[in-house]
Amino acid sequence: MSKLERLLKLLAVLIDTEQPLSAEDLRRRIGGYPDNNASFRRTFERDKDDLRTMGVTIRVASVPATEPPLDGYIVDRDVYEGQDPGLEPEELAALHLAAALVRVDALGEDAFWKLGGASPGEATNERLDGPSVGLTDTNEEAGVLHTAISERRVVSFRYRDVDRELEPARLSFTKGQWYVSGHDRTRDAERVFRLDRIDGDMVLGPADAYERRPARGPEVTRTWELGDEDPVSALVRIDAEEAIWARVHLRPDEIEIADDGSVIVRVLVRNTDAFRDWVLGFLDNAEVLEPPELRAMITEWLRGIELVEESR
Amino acid sequence: MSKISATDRMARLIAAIPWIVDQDGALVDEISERFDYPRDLLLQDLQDVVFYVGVPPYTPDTLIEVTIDDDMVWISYADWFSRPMRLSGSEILSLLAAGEAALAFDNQDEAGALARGLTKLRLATGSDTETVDMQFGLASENVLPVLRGAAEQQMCVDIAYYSFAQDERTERRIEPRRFFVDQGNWYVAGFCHRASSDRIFRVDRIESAETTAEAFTSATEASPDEPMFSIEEAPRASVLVPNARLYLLDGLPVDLIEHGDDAAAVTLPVSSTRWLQQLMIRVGPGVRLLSTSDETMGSGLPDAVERIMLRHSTS
Repeated sequence: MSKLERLLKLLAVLIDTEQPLSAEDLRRRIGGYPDNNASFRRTFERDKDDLRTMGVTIRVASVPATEPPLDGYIVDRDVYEGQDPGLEPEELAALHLAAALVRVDALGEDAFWKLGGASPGEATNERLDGPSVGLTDTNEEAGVLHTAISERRVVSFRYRDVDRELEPARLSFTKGQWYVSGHDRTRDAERVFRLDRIDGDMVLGPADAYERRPARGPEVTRTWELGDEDPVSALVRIDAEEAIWARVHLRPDEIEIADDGSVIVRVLVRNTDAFRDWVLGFLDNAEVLEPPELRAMITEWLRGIELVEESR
Repeated sequence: MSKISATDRMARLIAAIPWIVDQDGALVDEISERFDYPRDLLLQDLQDVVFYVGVPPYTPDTLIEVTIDDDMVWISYADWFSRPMRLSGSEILSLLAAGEAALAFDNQDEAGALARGLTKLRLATGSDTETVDMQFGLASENVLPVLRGAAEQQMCVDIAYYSFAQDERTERRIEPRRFFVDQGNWYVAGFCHRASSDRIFRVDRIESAETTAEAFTSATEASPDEPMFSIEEAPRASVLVPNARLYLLDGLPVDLIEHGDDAAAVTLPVSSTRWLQQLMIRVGPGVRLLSTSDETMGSGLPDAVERIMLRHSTS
């Protein structure tokens, strides 16, 4: 029996069975495995690995009515089978074209096979001249978290030397990084974590472990709003040279365009450090107009910089 | 015949079988093309393998039935493979990323097929926008579509661009050839007539873009994967950064961090003098320039500090 036939039969039997089957049971049912016990074991282990690599979840549970309990194997149909999005041919084609246009590192053709494959006659393997989008090397972890979110599993991991238990609710890809946010059981509060800072492995708990509550994504633009300080309203002028930044990144109601092309930005500061980092990023193309305390804070900061390199 | 491993053929078959069942029969050629399955190998696997797949007792009603007639294939009794396998979490995210980025990049989805497909995919996979949100960089309205359209027609574009490194706003004619997203920002790369060489522009610093009647003139077509600037070749600076301020280096390509009790010595590539200045000023009290690979790079910090100081001195 060819390996392909054996693997297909193994999967069919594992899906078909209503209770976990032992290795010997499977050997008998499928046939075609080596007679020698040791080589059967080896082949069987390899087959399971192959199915798992393909993405099949094989559940291990003890075989009923065995003493001592025997390990049994089963593929739960509702876990194996996909979520059928019911894409119309032109929608699938558009998605496929998007994937050919945008270079997403991690995306292979096999994802499309599961959706019914590429429509014939379409430019498929050819890379169009589109942009590349690096999804970073934490895409696998993001995939694990996606599963955790959809199955409502608590995730345990270590982050900045603290063990966390998170009820994940939201994945965000922004500024080239993946973030996960949700209810942090350790802190009993909503928190956001950057995936590339998670130390080591994530451990997923059982499914349906919590009620999902909405969570905010990370704020990467209005960082000055992220803090616990008493809010202070500040006015900042950004010169014409860099005004485009404010026009692109801020809401229209936050900015006012002056006659000379500069923009006056009104922001609510809850995090003074982040506010200063933002303003100084413009060097002398920005000026804090109000309030006087924040203006003074900038000069105070600059005075603290030791200018070792002596000016002429 | 090309060698395709047993597991690769299996991945194709467990996707193709439900599709064929669903279609109520399909053309061999179409199956072959959809699932990237060489025709002869497909026919052979259907006849010699799939035909024998089933569950005990392997009576006809527990075996998959494959009928091949002329160029058509019908499959029945494939109950275990009546639905394709679930998309993995990272497959879902990659599909959404490709779709969302394409939408942001290319507003030509007139029929809305891509947007509709993405919505369906999000719904079916429990990935609504509250659960999975993706941002691929902002740009001034109309700038990206103009660049994109011009790139397609190979026409030059006039842009108004603010260069942070030079701290100046310039008007340039460019030949947009390649687009990419890095750290959440859109970039366009291509020949710049003003500089007479290839340049990279951050799209959110382009104030306006207008397609001209001039066709691309440069003969060189930068290959899409060929980087036009190189982190390796950029000059280096070593800066002392207090530990509490190290977060400012997040996302920057850093060569080396030597941690100390209060501060770390950080060596990193520097794109321009002005960029180094703003980094050091943001790091603030406790910052020190330890060394630079390019002597002129370290100069000008006192001036830069002075200029910001002047703007904020009480009037």
